[in-house]
Amino acid sequence: MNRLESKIRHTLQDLADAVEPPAFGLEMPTPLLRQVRRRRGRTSAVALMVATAIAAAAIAGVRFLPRAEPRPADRPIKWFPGAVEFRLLYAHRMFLYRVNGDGSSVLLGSGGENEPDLNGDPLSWSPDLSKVIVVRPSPCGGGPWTQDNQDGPLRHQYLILNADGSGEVRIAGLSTLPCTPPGPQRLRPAFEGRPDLEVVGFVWAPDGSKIAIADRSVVHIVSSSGEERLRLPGSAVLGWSKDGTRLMVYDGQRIILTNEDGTDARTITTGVVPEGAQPTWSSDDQQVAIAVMRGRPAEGDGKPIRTSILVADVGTSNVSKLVDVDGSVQAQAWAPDGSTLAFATFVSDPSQSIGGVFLGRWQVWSIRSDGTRLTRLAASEVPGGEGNAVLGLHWAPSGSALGFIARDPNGRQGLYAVHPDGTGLTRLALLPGPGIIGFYGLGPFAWMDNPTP
Amino acid sequence: MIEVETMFSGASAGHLGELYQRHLLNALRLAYLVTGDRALAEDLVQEAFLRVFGRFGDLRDAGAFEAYLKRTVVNLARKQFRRARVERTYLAREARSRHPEFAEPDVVTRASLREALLRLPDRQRMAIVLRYYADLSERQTAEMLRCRLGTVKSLVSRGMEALRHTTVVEEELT
Repeated sequence: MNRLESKIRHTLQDLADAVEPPAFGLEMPTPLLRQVRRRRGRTSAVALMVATAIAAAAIAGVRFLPRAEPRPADRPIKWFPGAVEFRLLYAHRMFLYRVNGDGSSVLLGSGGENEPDLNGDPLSWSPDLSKVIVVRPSPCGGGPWTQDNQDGPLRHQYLILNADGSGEVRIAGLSTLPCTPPGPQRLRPAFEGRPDLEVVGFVWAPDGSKIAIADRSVVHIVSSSGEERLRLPGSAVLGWSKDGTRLMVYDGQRIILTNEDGTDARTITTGVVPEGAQPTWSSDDQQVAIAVMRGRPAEGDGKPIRTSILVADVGTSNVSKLVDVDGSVQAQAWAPDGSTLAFATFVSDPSQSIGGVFLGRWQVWSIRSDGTRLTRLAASEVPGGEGNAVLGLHWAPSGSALGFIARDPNGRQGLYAVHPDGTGLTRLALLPGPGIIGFYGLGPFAWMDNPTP
Repeated sequence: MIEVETMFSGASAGHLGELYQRHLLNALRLAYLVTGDRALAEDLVQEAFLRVFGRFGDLRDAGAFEAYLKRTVVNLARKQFRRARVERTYLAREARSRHPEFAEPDVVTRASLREALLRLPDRQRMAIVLRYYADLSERQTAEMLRCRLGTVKSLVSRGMEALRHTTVVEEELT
């Protein structure tokens, strides 16, 4: 063993030794038992055992479902008029909440015997929230779970389900890799290390009749019943026009506005739009926001990165700078009337670490489309990197609120809402705690079109 | 093996709890080393227990609980990395990849070996952790990571090179 190997072994052991039992102790959390029951089925011996444990927990008053926490006391609440409803997919299951004027929430749907088990990673809600797209992986070989096939070659199925989990329809036409037996890999080099299919970007047309799906270099146009209708080139789908006749796609370099059959295509930007710029089309069809990272990553040398947010005019193709911000941009969302852009940034702080894990800070901002009124709406220090620091920034249909999923200083994911002026910041839902059922986390969520008065 | 089978057939939450207590810390340490993120490590380990417990009756070799658990932790970490790439770290990664002048040696020059380990690219760190913490052979590491032997060699070599640079700098400073 050479000297470097020895050093690495000692350093790894030191790092491992520094890991103490988790905050929730060494006792197995009761919700974990409950999850075991769900996955095993009620007829198994485990299910019987766990059901007993769950019954005991229920008697003891243990609650598993996420509930809204008391609102932060240091922020004035000028909450949304009336109630707000949203739908949230949480840990593979669907929950329908109503949020009251005081920020408290009421669970309207799901739970109990009728709780739908969507059994797959949630991806996207239809505009009317009646359907949801999920991805469901399964071992190619089928049969019992074994060490050989539990994470061997996978076949991903993309499914459209009703919001109650019924009416399963497979989306046709998406590319898939051939199943390979355990043993030496026979995958193409390009897919090495990621043998599963990674289809991203499911964008519903405004009327919910069709979906644009980016599948590597192909955009599939699929009906809401899962049948493929058309294909056109593109690596990301930015959205449908308001009337659902035009589609904006990104091909890795250019932003293109086109008919769904690929005709009448027009390039919106003359320059190259770098990958990762998260082009975001405004809902009034007029503008595209582009986040371009400048400088070097903050890791290591302490020099912070900065990001320029540019705006391209769809009509004229003129590009102008909206604002420069510290850190990377994690999400962008235009207000329904196109007057304001909300965005989330993340700044890592290499000088601050806990047990070798760096701290970072996410912030959610809004800015008028003319570059004025830059307003910080929310912020938090968080442990760890920028992954999943802020997800899914969505405006309420009325434009009176913004919702987003973010981690708190304890690393827990929560669903937050805030007014565009920064008032009324409220946590609407929270994962019950790190390590309980948090791996899949919250999301996606969607605002209801017609909040209950 | 007898112990695990007895536990399962005994069908008591207490038995599963014992198994959980016995393996939690080691699993947590492995998850932390491969992810570099304590909160994420806790989530991964919970999910790993959930999966292994949930599939308990299907295991070919119930005595290999720890190996199943370890493998599941690594697999979940790999999936998490893929998920994170697809979701929100894509932007930063792409930006880094387009700035070769800011490659690893420059990044880690002022970092300690410990920090450098945690900052290695995900797959490099996983390969190094499996080789030098879990003491797996290159072939076992390749099986765990579902990649070719040559890929493991390459990942370890590149990771070691980055770490070697750190130690050289540290020694120069001290």
